[in-house]
Amino acid sequence: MFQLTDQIINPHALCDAVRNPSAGGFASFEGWVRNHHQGRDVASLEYEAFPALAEKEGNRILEKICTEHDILTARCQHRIGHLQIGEVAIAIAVSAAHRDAAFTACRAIIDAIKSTVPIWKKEHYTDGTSIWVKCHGCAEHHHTH
Amino acid sequence: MNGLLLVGGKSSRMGTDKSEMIFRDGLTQRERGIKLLASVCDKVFISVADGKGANIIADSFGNIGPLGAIASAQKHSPDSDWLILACDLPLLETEHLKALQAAHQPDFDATYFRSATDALPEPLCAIWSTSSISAVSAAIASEKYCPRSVLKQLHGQALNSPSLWTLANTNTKADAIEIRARISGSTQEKTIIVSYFAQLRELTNKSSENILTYSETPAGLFEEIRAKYTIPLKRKGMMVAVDGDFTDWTHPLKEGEEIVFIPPVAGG
Repeated sequence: MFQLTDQIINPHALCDAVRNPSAGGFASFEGWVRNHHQGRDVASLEYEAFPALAEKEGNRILEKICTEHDILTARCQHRIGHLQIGEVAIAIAVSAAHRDAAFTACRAIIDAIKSTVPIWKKEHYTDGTSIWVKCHGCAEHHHTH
Repeated sequence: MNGLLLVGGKSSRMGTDKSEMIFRDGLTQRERGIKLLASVCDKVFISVADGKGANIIADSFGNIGPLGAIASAQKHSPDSDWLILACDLPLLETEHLKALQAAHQPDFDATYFRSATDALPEPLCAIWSTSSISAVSAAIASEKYCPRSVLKQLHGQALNSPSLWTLANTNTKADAIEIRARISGSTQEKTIIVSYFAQLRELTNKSSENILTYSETPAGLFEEIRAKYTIPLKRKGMMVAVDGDFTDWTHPLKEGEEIVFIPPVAGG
C-alpha cells in the first residue's frame, strides 16, 4: 500500500506492517531531507503531490514490483508539506522469503516512484531563494537517455 | 535573397519523415516549403544531411543540427542573405515570409519572428544576413550549436508571431492532430477543467480553472496555457493526466474533462 501523509513518518510502524511468518528477509529504504544539493545549502524542502494520481500510481508500482520479485508485503509512505533537515521524506518496507528479492524490490520501488509518481519538490535554500527541483530519474530521462 | 528549406531533421518524435507528410494542397511539407520560398526568393535550395544536386546543399558540418545547415548555406553563397525555413510549418503562409522581408533592413544581421507561446526567437523561419556569418562561424567553432542562442546575440528585428498557431511545428503526432484540425476548420469549442499543482500552481496563481478551448488534444491546450501565463516549461519530458489517470498527449479532449499537466516529477 502506498500512502501520502502530511504527518511525521514512523519507519518502525512500516516495518511492523510488513511482518509475516513466511518472511526470511526484510529490506527498507528511507529518503531523508539533506542540507545540501548541487553545491547549495538547503534549509528545508517542500513536497506537493497530485494526490489522487500519486496514490493510484504508487499502488500500481507496489503491486507490479511485488509480483515481479516474489515479495510478501510492501508498504510505502511519502511525506507531503514542508519538511526540515533530517526528516524522513519517504520510507519503503518490503518483506520476502529471501533477501535477494527484498533488496532488489526495495531498490526498484524507489526508482520507479522517482520516475513517474506525480510528486514535486521545492528546495528552500539558506540564502532565502527557492526552486522547484528538476528530476534526476524522471520520465524524461527514461525516454531520452 | 536565397531561400533554404531544411528537410534533414530526424523527425524522432514524429516517428516518420516530417518532410514527406502531407498537410495541405496535396503537397508534401517539402514540396510546400519549396513553393513558399520560391514565391519570395530568387533561388531556392534544399538542405539535406547528405546528397548532391543542382538545388541541394549538403550539410558539411555533420551531426550538429540546423546551425550546420545555415553555415553550409552561407559557405555556399556567402554574398547572399538567406531566408532559412523549416519544412514543418503547415500554417505558415507566403504573406508571413513577405512580412519578414518587408521588415528586414540592410544593416540587420537577422530578421525573425518571436514565438507566440514563449516569446523566444524562431531561428528556422528567419532571414540570416551575410553579416551573421561571423557569429555563426564563431558559435560552431566554440561548439555552441543552438541557432536560437546565436540569433539572440545578433543585431536585428523581431516580429511578433501573427497567431499562436502560425509557427506551430509538426514535431509530434499531437501537433499534427491540432494543425490538421485548424486547417480543416473542424475544431469545436469545449470547456475543460484544468487543475494545477506545484510549479504550475505558482506560475498560474490558481489551483484550478475552467478553460474554453478549441484545442483537440492536451498538447494544444498546454500551448494555449503556456502563452497565457508565459510558462517556461515545454511538453517534452512532461506527462499529462485526464480524469485522474495518465493519458497520451494525443487524447481527444471532450467537454467537461479534467486535465492535469505534470512537469518532471521529483518525489523520493
